Amino acid sequence: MDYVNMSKLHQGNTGKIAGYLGGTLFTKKLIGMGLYHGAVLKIIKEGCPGPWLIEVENNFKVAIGCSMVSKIVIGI
Amino acid sequence: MNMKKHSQNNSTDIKKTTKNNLPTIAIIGNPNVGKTTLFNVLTGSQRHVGNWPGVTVEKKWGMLKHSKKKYQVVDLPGVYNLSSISPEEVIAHTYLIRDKPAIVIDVVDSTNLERNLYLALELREMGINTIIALNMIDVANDKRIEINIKKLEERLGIPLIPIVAKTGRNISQLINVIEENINKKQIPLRIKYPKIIESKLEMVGKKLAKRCAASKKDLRWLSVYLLLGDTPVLKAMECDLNKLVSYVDNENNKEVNYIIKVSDARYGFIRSLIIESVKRDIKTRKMFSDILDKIVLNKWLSIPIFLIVMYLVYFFAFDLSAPLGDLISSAMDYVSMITLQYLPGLLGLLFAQGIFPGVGNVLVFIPTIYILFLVLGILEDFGYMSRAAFIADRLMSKIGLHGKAFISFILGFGCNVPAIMSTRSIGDKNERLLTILVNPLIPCSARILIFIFIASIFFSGQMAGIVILSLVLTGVGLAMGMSYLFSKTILKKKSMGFIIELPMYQTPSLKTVTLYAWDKTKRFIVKAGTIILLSSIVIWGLMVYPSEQNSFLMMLGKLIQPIFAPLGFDWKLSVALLTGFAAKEIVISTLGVLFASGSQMAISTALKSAFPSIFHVYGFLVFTLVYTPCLATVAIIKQETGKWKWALFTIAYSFVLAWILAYLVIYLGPVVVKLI
Repeated sequence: MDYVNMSKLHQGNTGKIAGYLGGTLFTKKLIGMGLYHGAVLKIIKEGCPGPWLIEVENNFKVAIGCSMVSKIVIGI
Repeated sequence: MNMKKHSQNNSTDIKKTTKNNLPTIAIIGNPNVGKTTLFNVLTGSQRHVGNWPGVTVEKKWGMLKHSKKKYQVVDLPGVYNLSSISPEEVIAHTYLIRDKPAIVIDVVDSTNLERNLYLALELREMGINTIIALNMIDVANDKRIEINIKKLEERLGIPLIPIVAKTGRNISQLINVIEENINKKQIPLRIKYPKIIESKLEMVGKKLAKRCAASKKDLRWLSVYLLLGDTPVLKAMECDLNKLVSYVDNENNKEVNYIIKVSDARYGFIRSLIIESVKRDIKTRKMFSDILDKIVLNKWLSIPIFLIVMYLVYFFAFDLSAPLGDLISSAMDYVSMITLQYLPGLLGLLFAQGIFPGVGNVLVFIPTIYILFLVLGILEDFGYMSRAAFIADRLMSKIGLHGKAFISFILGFGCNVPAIMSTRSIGDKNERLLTILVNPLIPCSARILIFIFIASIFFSGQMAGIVILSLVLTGVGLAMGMSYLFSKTILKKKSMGFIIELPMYQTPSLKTVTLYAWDKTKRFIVKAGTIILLSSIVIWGLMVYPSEQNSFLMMLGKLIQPIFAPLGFDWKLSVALLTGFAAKEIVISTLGVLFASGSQMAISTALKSAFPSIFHVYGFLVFTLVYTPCLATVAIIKQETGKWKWALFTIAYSFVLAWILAYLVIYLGPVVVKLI
């Protein structure tokens, strides 16, 4: 499995959350919202500029700001 | 992470809130799962809304009466888990620990069990007497999700009741289960964590046992929270944290790993539950939500749709409510007139010119606020508000604001009072405060009226239009500029970033949205209304005593005139600006009273002689645009921020900014024009 920063992904790409680079509170927030370690993400809309739109576990949608996306490591 | 600092930042003094001896049912759940809908179904009209002590997070509580028994029902804030990141989470866990409700209903979205069960698992680990309400079971069926409820009940060790809160399906069954399980003792669920975590828990548990008056069954989950750095949870248990915090601080670098390991174990447990008890059609058919999102979030259509929705919000809130507001205003005028006829003397004047217009100043806002929150409630319940935030965030984030701040900007053109109230939907405290502080710079309809009145006197048709437009754009530009400035200075605290769930679209619940709108309106009447009423009476007193021709307000105007002298404004213009503090519309009537006693022509002639140059006119308009918000806006800033400090700060900064800008217009304007 290759690891990339989430901001490197493109619309339609999928991957698994493999790490968090934003510290404790950031990690807790994401895990609580269902973006847990190992959760499968699909990029619906690329951001930067603007927030990203992702689908988590083929189930629910989350919008994430540009600054947060660069702190998520994805395994593809 | 510095745990001491973290603990201080999040510590909220939530005292024990149960005020009677009734058994309490607490409702908890993730945001957008239908918690409030269930609360409304259970409590009906027997409900109250306030704030949790010490914070501006809304608290709802009410009464459930069933088969001659009474229960107190508390609607806890929507949370994803029980950690200590947001004030809502601190409130939720502190309430559960301190108030010890007789039973907790965890409302779970049946279509998203994996994430929703995380909170349920935390409650089970804490051994809190919980039952799960599997809400939106009809939508789960539509999505071809089959849930084996018995299996889930067995594994979780608590009852699960499938419900549809919106239609009331299975609510009586839910109430029966509540009654059967009230005050039941639950054995905490024990999740098996990796070895390293288990050994740490054992170590931390031993230390905790000496410093916490906690029972043995509580020590395990307390140890988990301590290991994860959630010290406010331990504060709620009144543990002696001094040495414990320094112990866990030493483990700082490992904390993120602990969080991941603990959540891995919890989600692992949840996944095993899902595999055993949930069947999902792999080729899930496209839901209405997905199809609608293709349009609403489309690259080319999203902004036009967003602007149309914003226009509709504005139209409903202001244009549609205007006749009602006018009706109230006319009724109050009529009552005042009658009073003056039948109640002579000072008392008659007090009622006719002080109290009734003061009451009118409060009542006139009610249709706008009710309709505004009805529309916003519908949009929120429908699922559009988070999409709107997503669309607007691209622009708003550049000036340090949340996407949802755009809505309050649009509403500000109508009236800053409901606009500031609408910021309640912004979760981040800092971003919300920022939105509140800059909103008064958006020119409201009353200020636009002043622009029209003065511009029509001093400028010809087309030029008047350009002047008004330039002022409106200046207001928006200033709001954005000040927001940027504040976000880099006094409100520098960096927010965690924008993250928001886009819930599925659903038909709004009429009961939920009407109650939501009424709650907001009632809060306005009780909180801001009293301040507006009292202040209106005081200002009226200042305007008519000792005589209307030589009132205290005029004396005050003459007294403060030296402040305006460098701007070239005489005492009459100063008094007009001063009266604008009561309500901006009054600036026009004051100018009318002070400058002429006759026709429009006389007012315009008199006004023309009051301004030394056209730059002084534009300077006066710029001053009117920016200076001190009206009384109602100040009252609402105090209500929404919970502090006079921010209300006074807004008065001060806007006054100083207005003065500087007017000065620049008056003295630099001619130089710039000459250069051009």
